[in-house]
Amino acid sequence: MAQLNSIQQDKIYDILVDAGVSYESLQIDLIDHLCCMVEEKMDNGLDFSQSLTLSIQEFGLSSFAEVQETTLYLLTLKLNKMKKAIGVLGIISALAVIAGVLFKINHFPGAGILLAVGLILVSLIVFPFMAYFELAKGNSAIQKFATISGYTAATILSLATLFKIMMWPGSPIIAYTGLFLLVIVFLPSYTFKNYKIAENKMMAFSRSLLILAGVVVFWGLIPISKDKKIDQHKIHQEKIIENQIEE
Amino acid sequence: MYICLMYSKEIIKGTLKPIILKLLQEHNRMYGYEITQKVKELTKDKIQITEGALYPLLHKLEAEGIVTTEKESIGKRVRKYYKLTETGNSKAAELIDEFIDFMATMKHILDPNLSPGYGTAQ
Repeated sequence: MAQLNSIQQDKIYDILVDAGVSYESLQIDLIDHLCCMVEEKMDNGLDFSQSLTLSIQEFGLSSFAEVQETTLYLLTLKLNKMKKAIGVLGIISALAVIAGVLFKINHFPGAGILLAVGLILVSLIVFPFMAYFELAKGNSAIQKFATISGYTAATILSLATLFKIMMWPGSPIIAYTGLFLLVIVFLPSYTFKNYKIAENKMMAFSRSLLILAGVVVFWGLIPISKDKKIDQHKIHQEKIIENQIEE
Repeated sequence: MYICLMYSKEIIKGTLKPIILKLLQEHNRMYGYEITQKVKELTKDKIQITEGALYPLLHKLEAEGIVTTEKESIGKRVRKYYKLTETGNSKAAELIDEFIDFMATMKHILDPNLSPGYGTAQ
């Protein structure tokens, strides 16, 4: 049985790459398939170039890309359906949060429920799934690290906001944990990742600094120091009252 | 999807998966071109599987954990053999049984005289 030499196999590889077959796992299959087709024709007495032309005609040059398209479509079908569902859920939760804030400003009833539903959906479903979709792209290790730390920080900060709105205890601690993760872990990896791939390095720094500016604004909104002052003021007043009673 | 010389598209739709699983069940491991040639041979050219139908399905079966691959070097190129996993084996058996049952039902509907024993087996 005929076996193609290295140069002939390289030619088949080039044809497939030129036809747009870039998915490596499928590339391996199609190279072998096309080589087998050519070898069979050579066994029947044709030379390499005749066999190759005939095989490509049988296969159809545009079919190479179509095979890849169908393969990738089938492989990502489930993921795409999930992405759509999470996209819709993301829109609903964002609208709930926006409506909740507007309701709260105008003192309309139902603001608390809207904010709670929106923030729970965002932090427990939308962000984790968005991180999963990003990780499924198979990016570099540093990109994966930035994705995980970024979405975890975003989830924690959303939960901190929820705790604050619902007046549950512990919101400052959760908020500081989220901010710490964002500034110490996410921002450096995000900046490094962007700096490595960005054509405009200044833009990479600018993006990171804008996030940092947002963090600083959020930081300013955590009323931990104010709470302490109020508590100290209360303790001071109680002491005065106790002293007055004793006198 | 198939190049089918004898049957219409409507009829053979959905038959590719049982065909591939049955072949893998019987031959342990096969590569893509081998599968197309085997189907051609077994069906006396009545069914010819195209690459456009075969490889997307093989990759999907691999992603679902029904088949696994083994790579072997053939000169400079690599040949990928597909074989059923443990889960794939039981799924293949299930699907093939279901298909055989379906064919018996179809036979009974379309030509009851050909299947007198249908529905009497205990």
